[in-house]
Amino acid sequence: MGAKAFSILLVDDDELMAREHVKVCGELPGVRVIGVAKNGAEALKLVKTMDPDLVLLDLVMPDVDGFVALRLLMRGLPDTRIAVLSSRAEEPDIREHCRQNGAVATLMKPLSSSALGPVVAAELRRERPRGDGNHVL
Amino acid sequence: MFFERRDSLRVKPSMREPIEVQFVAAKMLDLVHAVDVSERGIALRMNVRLDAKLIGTEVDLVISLPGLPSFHTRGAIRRFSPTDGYVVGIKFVGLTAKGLEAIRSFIEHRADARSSARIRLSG
Repeated sequence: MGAKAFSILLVDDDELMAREHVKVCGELPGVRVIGVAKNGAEALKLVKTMDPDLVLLDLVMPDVDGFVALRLLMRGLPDTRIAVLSSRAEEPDIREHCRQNGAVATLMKPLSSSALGPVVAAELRRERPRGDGNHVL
Repeated sequence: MFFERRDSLRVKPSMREPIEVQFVAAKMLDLVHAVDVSERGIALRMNVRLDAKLIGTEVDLVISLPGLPSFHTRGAIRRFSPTDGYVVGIKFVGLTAKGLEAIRSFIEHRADARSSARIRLSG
């Protein structure tokens, strides 16, 4: 049986930034971006249908922003693993808000593979409550 | 003469342009469609029959009206259709100005579309 790639859903309204982040994810072996959502509403739909291993969620977006999307995903699909992306990720109140709302990590934007790598590794180490979890890096 | 209150005017979406709604409750996230919408609330056709005990429960909704930006609001489940247990009536709680504006635009758009259709039929 082949090993399953670690799947990521990117949520970012900035197309150029999203493209950069797809490249960064691709630098990690065994990691695959399975979709890109442009706002929180699209993120809810894609998380429900694609069931990714990790969601990389931007906070500042038009319409339904990342703060709302984080709260709704954790309410409706509490097993979802979400890492927040923000240019304000180092601010304690942002980190605390995201942690309290269920985010597994808060990462600086723009994303680097050295920051994402440990988050993916930690996710692979934990036992996933759904799916077969047959991942390799 | 009969005057319908503006905020209670309920408008149905067209078949071609449905209203998509993400319905979020505890451990439940479902993409459903609206049966009708007003400034005060929305009726949704659910994919599953909900327990009547949920009346009064607050839920989160992300509403996507055709051609308009999606918005989030909270709502309280008010009633279930007596003839069809899959349709639930939800009253908005804390609808934002942005949400209200989107609903008003949608209602006006539907009213315009209906009067144009009437003119075409009679013309």
